[in-house]
Amino acid sequence: MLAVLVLAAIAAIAAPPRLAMLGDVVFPRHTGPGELPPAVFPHWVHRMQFKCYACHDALFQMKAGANPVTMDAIQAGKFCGICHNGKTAFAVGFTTCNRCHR
Amino acid sequence: MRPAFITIVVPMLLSGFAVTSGCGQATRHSAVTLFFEDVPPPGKESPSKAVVRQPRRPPPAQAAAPPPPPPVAETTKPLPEPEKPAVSRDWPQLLSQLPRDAAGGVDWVRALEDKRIEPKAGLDAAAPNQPVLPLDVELIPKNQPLFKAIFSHKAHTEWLGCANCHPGIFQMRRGADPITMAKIFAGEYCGRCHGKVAFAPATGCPRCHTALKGAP
Repeated sequence: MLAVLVLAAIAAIAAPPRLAMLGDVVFPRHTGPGELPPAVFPHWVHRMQFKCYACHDALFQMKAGANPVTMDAIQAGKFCGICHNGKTAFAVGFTTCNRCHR
Repeated sequence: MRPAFITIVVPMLLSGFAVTSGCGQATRHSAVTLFFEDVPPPGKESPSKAVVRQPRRPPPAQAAAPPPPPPVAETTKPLPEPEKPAVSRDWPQLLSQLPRDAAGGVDWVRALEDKRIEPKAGLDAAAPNQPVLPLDVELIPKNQPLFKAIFSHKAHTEWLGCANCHPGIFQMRRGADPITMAKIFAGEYCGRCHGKVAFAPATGCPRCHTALKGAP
Protein backbone atom coordinates (compact mmCIF):
# COMPACT_ATOMS: atom_id res chain seq x y z
CA MET A 1 0.00 0.00 0.00
CA LEU A 2 2.79 2.38 0.91
CA ALA A 3 4.58 1.46 -2.27
CA VAL A 4 1.48 2.21 -4.30
CA LEU A 5 1.13 5.56 -2.56
CA VAL A 6 4.75 6.40 -3.21
CA LEU A 7 4.39 5.35 -6.85
CA ALA A 8 1.25 7.40 -7.18
CA ALA A 9 3.03 10.39 -5.74
CA ILE A 10 5.93 9.91 -8.12
CA ALA A 11 3.50 9.50 -10.99
CA ALA A 12 1.67 12.67 -10.04
CA ILE A 13 4.90 14.64 -9.85
CA ALA A 14 6.61 13.13 -12.87
CA ALA A 15 3.63 13.15 -15.22
CA PRO A 16 3.79 16.21 -17.40
CA PRO A 17 0.57 18.15 -17.69
CA ARG A 18 -1.33 16.93 -20.69
CA LEU A 19 -4.21 18.58 -22.43
CA ALA A 20 -7.37 16.61 -22.73
CA MET A 21 -8.10 15.63 -26.28
CA LEU A 22 -11.28 14.66 -28.03
CA GLY A 23 -11.41 10.89 -27.84
CA ASP A 24 -9.66 10.49 -24.51
CA VAL A 25 -11.32 7.58 -22.76
CA VAL A 26 -11.08 7.48 -18.98
CA PHE A 27 -11.26 4.14 -17.20
CA PRO A 28 -12.42 5.04 -13.71
CA ARG A 29 -12.95 1.55 -12.41
CA HIS A 30 -11.08 0.24 -9.40
CA THR A 31 -9.55 3.59 -8.66
CA GLY A 32 -10.23 5.77 -5.73
CA PRO A 33 -8.61 8.09 -3.22
CA GLY A 34 -5.06 7.05 -2.48
CA GLU A 35 -4.79 4.86 -5.52
CA LEU A 36 -3.38 5.42 -8.93
CA PRO A 37 -5.17 8.02 -11.00
CA PRO A 38 -7.53 6.53 -13.56
CA ALA A 39 -6.14 5.26 -16.82
CA VAL A 40 -6.71 7.48 -19.83
CA PHE A 41 -6.74 6.00 -23.30
CA PRO A 42 -5.76 8.67 -25.84
CA HIS A 43 -7.43 7.93 -29.15
CA TRP A 44 -5.41 10.55 -30.98
CA VAL A 45 -2.01 8.91 -30.78
CA HIS A 46 -3.49 5.54 -31.65
CA ARG A 47 -5.43 6.74 -34.66
CA MET A 48 -2.30 8.33 -36.06
CA GLN A 49 -1.02 4.80 -36.41
CA PHE A 50 -4.11 2.65 -36.87
CA LYS A 51 -7.45 2.96 -38.52
CA CYS A 52 -10.51 2.44 -36.37
CA TYR A 53 -11.11 -1.05 -37.66
CA ALA A 54 -7.67 -2.22 -36.58
CA CYS A 55 -9.06 -2.49 -33.04
CA HIS A 56 -12.83 -2.09 -33.38
CA ASP A 57 -14.75 -4.19 -32.81
CA ALA A 58 -12.49 -7.24 -32.76
CA LEU A 59 -10.41 -6.13 -29.74
CA PHE A 60 -12.50 -3.38 -28.20
CA GLN A 61 -16.20 -2.80 -28.47
CA MET A 62 -17.15 0.77 -29.24
CA LYS A 63 -19.17 1.23 -26.10
CA ALA A 64 -18.12 2.66 -22.76
CA GLY A 65 -17.92 0.00 -20.10
CA ALA A 66 -18.30 -2.86 -22.55
CA ASN A 67 -14.64 -3.90 -22.33
CA PRO A 68 -13.53 -5.47 -19.04
CA VAL A 69 -10.02 -4.04 -19.20
CA THR A 70 -7.97 -4.83 -16.11
CA MET A 71 -4.26 -4.75 -15.43
CA ASP A 72 -4.36 -8.52 -15.03
CA ALA A 73 -5.93 -8.89 -18.46
CA ILE A 74 -3.40 -6.50 -19.97
CA GLN A 75 -0.50 -8.35 -18.42
CA ALA A 76 -2.02 -11.60 -19.71
CA GLY A 77 -1.73 -10.15 -23.22
CA LYS A 78 -5.34 -9.11 -23.71
CA PHE A 79 -6.80 -5.72 -24.62
CA CYS A 80 -3.99 -3.12 -24.45
CA GLY A 81 -1.55 -5.96 -23.73
CA ILE A 82 -1.88 -7.22 -27.29
CA CYS A 83 0.43 -4.39 -28.35
CA HIS A 84 1.71 -2.99 -25.06
CA ASN A 85 4.07 -5.86 -24.40
CA GLY A 86 7.44 -4.20 -24.85
CA LYS A 87 7.71 -5.32 -28.46
CA THR A 88 5.08 -3.48 -30.47
CA ALA A 89 4.56 -0.71 -27.93
CA PHE A 90 5.87 0.17 -24.50
CA ALA A 91 5.29 -2.52 -21.91
CA VAL A 92 3.03 -2.04 -18.93
CA GLY A 93 5.04 -2.03 -15.73
CA PHE A 94 6.19 0.03 -12.82
CA THR A 95 8.28 2.29 -15.04
CA THR A 96 5.39 3.18 -17.32
CA CYS A 97 2.45 3.60 -14.93
CA ASN A 98 2.03 7.27 -15.57
CA ARG A 99 1.82 6.93 -19.30
CA CYS A 100 -1.78 5.80 -18.81
CA HIS A 101 -2.57 6.52 -15.17
CA ARG A 102 -2.42 10.30 -15.19
CA MET B 1 93.36 25.42 -34.07
CA ARG B 2 95.78 25.82 -36.88
CA PRO B 3 98.23 23.09 -35.68
CA ALA B 4 95.34 20.63 -35.31
CA PHE B 5 94.14 21.39 -38.83
CA ILE B 6 97.61 20.89 -40.28
CA THR B 7 98.45 17.74 -38.36
CA ILE B 8 95.12 15.88 -38.82
CA VAL B 9 93.12 17.08 -41.77
CA VAL B 10 95.86 17.75 -44.29
CA PRO B 11 97.46 14.26 -44.01
CA MET B 12 94.03 12.68 -44.33
CA LEU B 13 93.32 14.58 -47.52
CA LEU B 14 96.73 13.79 -48.94
CA SER B 15 96.50 10.08 -48.14
CA GLY B 16 93.02 9.94 -49.61
CA PHE B 17 94.25 11.58 -52.76
CA ALA B 18 97.19 9.15 -52.89
CA VAL B 19 94.91 6.11 -52.43
CA THR B 20 92.45 7.06 -55.12
CA SER B 21 94.88 8.41 -57.74
CA GLY B 22 98.31 7.03 -57.17
CA CYS B 23 97.85 3.26 -57.46
CA GLY B 24 96.87 0.75 -60.03
CA GLN B 25 93.26 -0.27 -60.49
CA ALA B 26 93.45 -3.45 -58.36
CA THR B 27 95.19 -1.74 -55.50
CA ARG B 28 92.85 1.18 -55.67
CA HIS B 29 89.88 -1.18 -55.55
CA SER B 30 91.15 -2.98 -52.50
CA ALA B 31 91.95 0.31 -50.82
CA VAL B 32 88.58 1.85 -51.68
CA THR B 33 86.62 -1.22 -50.51
CA LEU B 34 88.29 -0.69 -47.15
CA PHE B 35 86.27 2.51 -46.79
CA PHE B 36 83.18 1.97 -48.97
CA GLU B 37 80.75 -0.84 -49.52
CA ASP B 38 79.53 -2.18 -52.83
CA VAL B 39 82.47 -0.96 -54.84
CA PRO B 40 82.31 -2.59 -58.26
CA PRO B 41 85.41 -4.63 -59.17
CA PRO B 42 87.81 -3.01 -61.62
CA GLY B 43 86.65 -3.14 -65.20
CA LYS B 44 83.03 -3.63 -64.25
CA GLU B 45 82.13 -0.11 -63.35
CA SER B 46 78.65 0.47 -64.64
CA PRO B 47 78.35 3.59 -66.64
CA SER B 48 76.46 6.19 -64.79
CA LYS B 49 72.92 6.62 -65.99
CA ALA B 50 72.16 9.84 -67.68
CA VAL B 51 69.57 11.79 -65.81
CA VAL B 52 66.64 12.36 -68.10
CA ARG B 53 64.05 14.82 -67.11
CA GLN B 54 60.59 13.43 -67.69
CA PRO B 55 57.15 14.70 -67.00
CA ARG B 56 55.69 13.43 -63.79
CA ARG B 57 53.05 11.46 -65.59
CA PRO B 58 53.57 9.69 -68.88
CA PRO B 59 51.68 11.37 -71.69
CA PRO B 60 48.48 9.60 -72.78
CA ALA B 61 49.43 6.71 -74.95
CA GLN B 62 46.66 7.22 -77.47
CA ALA B 63 44.64 10.33 -77.39
CA ALA B 64 42.09 8.80 -79.75
CA ALA B 65 41.40 5.74 -77.62
CA PRO B 66 38.37 6.42 -75.40
CA PRO B 67 39.01 6.02 -71.70
CA PRO B 68 37.61 2.84 -70.21
CA PRO B 69 34.06 3.37 -69.01
CA PRO B 70 33.92 3.96 -65.30
CA PRO B 71 32.36 1.15 -63.28
CA VAL B 72 28.96 2.77 -63.09
CA ALA B 73 27.22 0.08 -61.18
CA GLU B 74 29.74 0.09 -58.41
CA THR B 75 30.65 3.66 -57.69
CA THR B 76 28.24 6.18 -59.14
CA LYS B 77 25.02 4.39 -58.14
CA PRO B 78 23.63 6.28 -55.16
CA LEU B 79 23.47 4.31 -51.97
CA PRO B 80 19.95 3.26 -50.99
CA GLU B 81 18.34 5.68 -48.60
CA PRO B 82 18.19 4.37 -45.05
CA GLU B 83 14.80 3.04 -44.12
CA LYS B 84 12.88 6.07 -42.94
CA PRO B 85 9.38 6.04 -41.55
CA ALA B 86 6.94 7.77 -43.85
CA VAL B 87 5.60 9.91 -41.05
CA SER B 88 7.24 11.27 -37.96
CA ARG B 89 7.14 9.20 -34.80
CA ASP B 90 7.24 12.24 -32.56
CA TRP B 91 3.50 12.02 -32.02
CA PRO B 92 2.88 15.25 -30.06
CA GLN B 93 4.89 17.19 -32.60
CA LEU B 94 3.04 15.52 -35.47
CA LEU B 95 -0.25 16.29 -33.74
CA SER B 96 0.63 19.96 -33.67
CA GLN B 97 1.20 19.91 -37.42
CA LEU B 98 -2.07 18.22 -38.42
CA PRO B 99 -4.72 20.22 -40.23
CA ARG B 100 -7.43 21.72 -38.06
CA ASP B 101 -11.09 22.31 -38.65
CA ALA B 102 -12.94 25.56 -38.07
CA ALA B 103 -13.47 24.72 -34.41
CA GLY B 104 -9.75 24.11 -33.83
CA GLY B 105 -9.97 20.36 -33.57
CA VAL B 106 -7.86 18.02 -35.66
CA ASP B 107 -9.33 17.40 -39.10
CA TRP B 108 -8.55 13.70 -39.21
CA VAL B 109 -10.19 13.15 -42.58
CA ARG B 110 -7.99 15.75 -44.22
CA ALA B 111 -4.93 14.55 -42.31
CA LEU B 112 -5.48 11.13 -43.84
CA GLU B 113 -6.25 12.54 -47.29
CA ASP B 114 -3.09 14.64 -47.24
CA LYS B 115 -1.11 11.62 -46.03
CA ARG B 116 0.07 13.53 -42.99
CA ILE B 117 -0.69 10.32 -41.14
CA GLU B 118 -0.66 6.80 -42.52
CA PRO B 119 -2.63 4.68 -40.07
CA LYS B 120 -2.37 0.96 -40.60
CA ALA B 121 -5.34 -1.26 -41.31
CA GLY B 122 -4.49 -3.74 -38.60
CA LEU B 123 -2.10 -4.62 -35.86
CA ASP B 124 -0.44 -6.85 -38.41
CA ALA B 125 1.48 -4.56 -40.77
CA ALA B 126 0.36 -6.63 -43.75
CA ALA B 127 -3.34 -6.29 -42.95
CA PRO B 128 -5.19 -5.11 -46.05
CA ASN B 129 -7.28 -1.97 -46.10
CA GLN B 130 -11.01 -2.50 -46.09
CA PRO B 131 -12.78 -1.25 -49.19
CA VAL B 132 -13.60 2.43 -49.48
CA LEU B 133 -17.17 3.08 -50.57
CA PRO B 134 -17.70 6.25 -52.61
CA LEU B 135 -21.35 6.72 -51.74
CA ASP B 136 -22.86 9.95 -50.46
CA VAL B 137 -26.19 9.64 -48.64
CA GLU B 138 -28.36 12.75 -48.53
CA LEU B 139 -30.43 13.22 -45.41
CA ILE B 140 -33.03 15.92 -45.94
CA PRO B 141 -35.18 16.96 -42.98
CA LYS B 142 -38.84 17.42 -43.77
CA ASN B 143 -39.57 20.89 -45.15
CA GLN B 144 -36.04 22.03 -44.32
CA PRO B 145 -33.97 21.49 -47.46
CA LEU B 146 -31.41 24.06 -46.29
CA PHE B 147 -30.41 21.67 -43.54
CA LYS B 148 -29.76 18.82 -45.90
CA ALA B 149 -26.95 16.72 -44.44
CA ILE B 150 -24.60 14.76 -46.64
CA PHE B 151 -23.14 11.61 -45.19
CA SER B 152 -19.92 10.71 -46.98
CA HIS B 153 -19.34 6.99 -46.94
CA LYS B 154 -15.90 7.65 -48.43
CA ALA B 155 -14.64 9.73 -45.52
CA HIS B 156 -15.96 7.14 -43.08
CA THR B 157 -14.80 3.98 -44.84
CA GLU B 158 -11.26 5.37 -44.95
CA TRP B 159 -11.30 4.80 -41.22
CA LEU B 160 -14.08 2.35 -40.48
CA GLY B 161 -15.27 -0.97 -41.77
CA CYS B 162 -18.87 -1.60 -42.73
CA ALA B 163 -19.44 -3.78 -39.68
CA ASN B 164 -18.41 -1.01 -37.30
CA CYS B 165 -21.73 0.75 -37.98
CA HIS B 166 -23.94 -1.69 -39.85
CA PRO B 167 -26.28 -2.95 -38.69
CA GLY B 168 -25.55 -2.16 -35.04
CA ILE B 169 -25.91 1.61 -35.27
CA PHE B 170 -27.45 2.15 -38.68
CA GLN B 171 -29.66 -0.18 -40.64
CA MET B 172 -28.71 -0.50 -44.27
CA ARG B 173 -32.00 0.80 -45.60
CA ARG B 174 -32.93 4.33 -46.56
CA GLY B 175 -35.28 5.95 -44.08
CA ALA B 176 -35.03 3.11 -41.58
CA ASP B 177 -33.22 5.21 -38.99
CA PRO B 178 -35.10 8.19 -37.51
CA ILE B 179 -32.01 10.32 -37.03
CA THR B 180 -32.52 13.69 -35.38
CA MET B 181 -30.08 16.23 -34.04
CA ALA B 182 -31.56 15.73 -30.58
CA LYS B 183 -30.69 12.04 -30.73
CA ILE B 184 -27.23 12.81 -32.07
CA PHE B 185 -26.59 15.23 -29.20
CA ALA B 186 -27.84 12.52 -26.85
CA GLY B 187 -25.16 10.18 -28.17
CA GLU B 188 -27.18 8.08 -30.56
CA TYR B 189 -26.54 7.44 -34.26
CA CYS B 190 -23.81 9.83 -35.44
CA GLY B 191 -23.38 10.84 -31.82
CA ARG B 192 -21.94 7.44 -31.05
CA CYS B 193 -18.64 8.79 -32.38
CA HIS B 194 -19.20 12.48 -33.14
CA GLY B 195 -18.54 14.42 -29.99
CA LYS B 196 -16.52 11.53 -28.55
CA VAL B 197 -13.74 10.66 -30.95
CA ALA B 198 -14.81 12.59 -34.02
CA PHE B 199 -15.59 16.28 -34.39
CA ALA B 200 -18.38 17.52 -32.18
CA PRO B 201 -21.80 18.10 -33.77
CA ALA B 202 -22.10 21.41 -31.95
CA THR B 203 -19.08 22.93 -33.70
CA GLY B 204 -19.03 21.10 -37.00
CA CYS B 205 -22.38 22.08 -38.58
CA PRO B 206 -21.15 22.78 -42.14
CA ARG B 207 -19.18 19.57 -42.32
CA CYS B 208 -22.47 17.69 -42.71
CA HIS B 209 -24.94 20.47 -43.51
CA THR B 210 -22.96 21.64 -46.50
CA ALA B 211 -25.35 24.47 -47.29
CA LEU B 212 -24.25 26.13 -44.07
CA LYS B 213 -20.70 26.47 -45.30
CA GLY B 214 -19.54 30.00 -44.81
CA ALA B 215 -22.21 30.66 -42.23
CA PRO B 216 -20.92 32.22 -39.04
